[in-house]
Amino acid sequence: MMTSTPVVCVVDDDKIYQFTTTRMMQLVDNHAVVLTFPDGEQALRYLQEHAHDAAALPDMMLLDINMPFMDGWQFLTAYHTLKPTLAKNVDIYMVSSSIDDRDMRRALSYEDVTDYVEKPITTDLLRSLLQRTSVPRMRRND
Amino acid sequence: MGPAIESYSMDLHSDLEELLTDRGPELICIHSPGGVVHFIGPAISELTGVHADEMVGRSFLELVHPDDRAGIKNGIVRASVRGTTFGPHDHRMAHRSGKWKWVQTQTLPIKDVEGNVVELQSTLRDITARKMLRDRLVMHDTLMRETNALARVGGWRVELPSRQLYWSEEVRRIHDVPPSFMPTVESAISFYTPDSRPIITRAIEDTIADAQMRIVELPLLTYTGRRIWVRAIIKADRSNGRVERIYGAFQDITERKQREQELKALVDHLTTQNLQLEEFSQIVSHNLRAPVSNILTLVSMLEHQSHEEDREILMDHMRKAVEQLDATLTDLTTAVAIRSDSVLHQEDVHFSDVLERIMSSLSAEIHEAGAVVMSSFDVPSMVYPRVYLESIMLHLLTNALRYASPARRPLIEVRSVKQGNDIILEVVDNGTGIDLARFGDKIFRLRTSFHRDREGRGTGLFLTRNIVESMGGEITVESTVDVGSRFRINFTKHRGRTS
Repeated sequence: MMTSTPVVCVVDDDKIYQFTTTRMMQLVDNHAVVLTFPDGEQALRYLQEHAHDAAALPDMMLLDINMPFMDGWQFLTAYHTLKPTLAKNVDIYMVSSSIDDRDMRRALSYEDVTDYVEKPITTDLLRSLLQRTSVPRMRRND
Repeated sequence: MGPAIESYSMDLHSDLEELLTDRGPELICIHSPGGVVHFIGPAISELTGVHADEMVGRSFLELVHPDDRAGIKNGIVRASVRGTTFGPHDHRMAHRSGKWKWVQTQTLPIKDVEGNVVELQSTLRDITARKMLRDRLVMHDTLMRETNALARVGGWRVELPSRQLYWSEEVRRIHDVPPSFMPTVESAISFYTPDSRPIITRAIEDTIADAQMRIVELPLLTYTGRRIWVRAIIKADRSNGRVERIYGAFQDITERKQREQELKALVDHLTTQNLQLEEFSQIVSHNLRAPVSNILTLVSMLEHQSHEEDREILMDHMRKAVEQLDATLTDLTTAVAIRSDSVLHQEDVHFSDVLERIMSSLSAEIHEAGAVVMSSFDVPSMVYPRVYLESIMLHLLTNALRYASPARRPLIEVRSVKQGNDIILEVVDNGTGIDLARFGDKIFRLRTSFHRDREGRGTGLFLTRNIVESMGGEITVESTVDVGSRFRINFTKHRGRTS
């Protein structure tokens, strides 16, 4: 089942962050498949192309706010339209180095956003996010 | 204001009129050429507080104000010697209470059968009330004049259907017209700036048509060519359903307009500063915190990593993160320095000199790209800090070269033009262009690159914008993907400009 190989999507233009997050994710779960995208547009294209392929769709997405081409907010708007066509629900976590309250409040105002997470990300945090993600997914599979 | 004053003055005038036509109580006095009273009417007690009987045998000149006494005395003597009438003559007389009364006296000689003057008959009338009224009127008039001049406000009126125009003194002064100038409706309208003429004409015609009050605030060029702002109030007087005249107040509001414009400039400036503060806080929270958070993560990974090869990879990333942090700090420091460097030396800088210098320092890049750089400077030079203009030119040219389209020979046009009072610098390229519908608001921000697979640091446009804005200008961009971009700097956009 999917629970054994979680697919995690990291959307961020920061290459070092992509590297460290991928590393940590593999430390938390060495079966995890980590997909990285440098901006919202490329992540969206991936979701569109694999809309009917539940195995390829991510279980969890770490979404940055500030990105070129399509930022986190623009992605969320596009995602909302795309969501009904997806074979699987994606748990989206907004991730930002911003300590601006407004960013957090805005992120939580999107119904598709599961939670708001501040950088830097730790292995402990990734572990707990993965656990939270697996609970509703198993329920959906009932 | 004009009409209100007028009607008030009208009341005063009618009071005066009444007093003048009402002859009032007259006091007859028969006296000698020396003023010694032979007979005086009983009303003297009302005027002076002295009983008529007490006056007989005394000179009435005693009661005349010392300053006026000589005039009366001479008049009476002349009347008695020459046999002519004296007066009417205004003078003051003492009342027993200590107050002074104003009296008008006319003296007629009384002759015997041989024509010799034997006595004189003087008629005295109390004109104190009239005199006070006149003084009030004069004072009121002076006060009004001064107030009008102080407020730079006057009145005007147009009689209909003759369309004869009357201007008050202050309206004439506001227009700077010479005393000989006779205004007509047409010449009055011609003082307004060409753009304003249809507006004032329309307001006047509309008020004539519907009798509704209108207020307009418009720029005007005076007789001597001063450019001022005026506020005109247009009202109508209607009787029997017909507008008989239009009238109103006319005020010079140039100072107020200037203050308004200064205030607006200040608000614009503060708004810009606020946006900059927002942006700086954005930079701190994202551009600075991001590498710091990367470093924190890498440090914790290094602590748990013993494998030498992996440590080397982590160290490599660490180095990059530190470099990134350093670069951001440098850019931020530069931007802050630009913002606070408002007293930089300014000189008359020639655009062609600056372009030449920048092109020679970019000669390798220009040659490599096979780019053609063209220039036309309608405005040859401007007063600006030279280093800033060089920096602007460098960033815009570098940008145009970096985002040249591989499909065609890069063509870059640099030009300066004058637009009204503003000096504009444009840099136009035929490069890859930017999708502004998506990135419009981010293009001049720090560290945003809009081109995949290009190593733009995203610093040039950020610094350029900081320079331009710190000098009170504005930078904008128009762009079409695959066609090219046009960067446009208005150097004088927000510089304090009034009228």
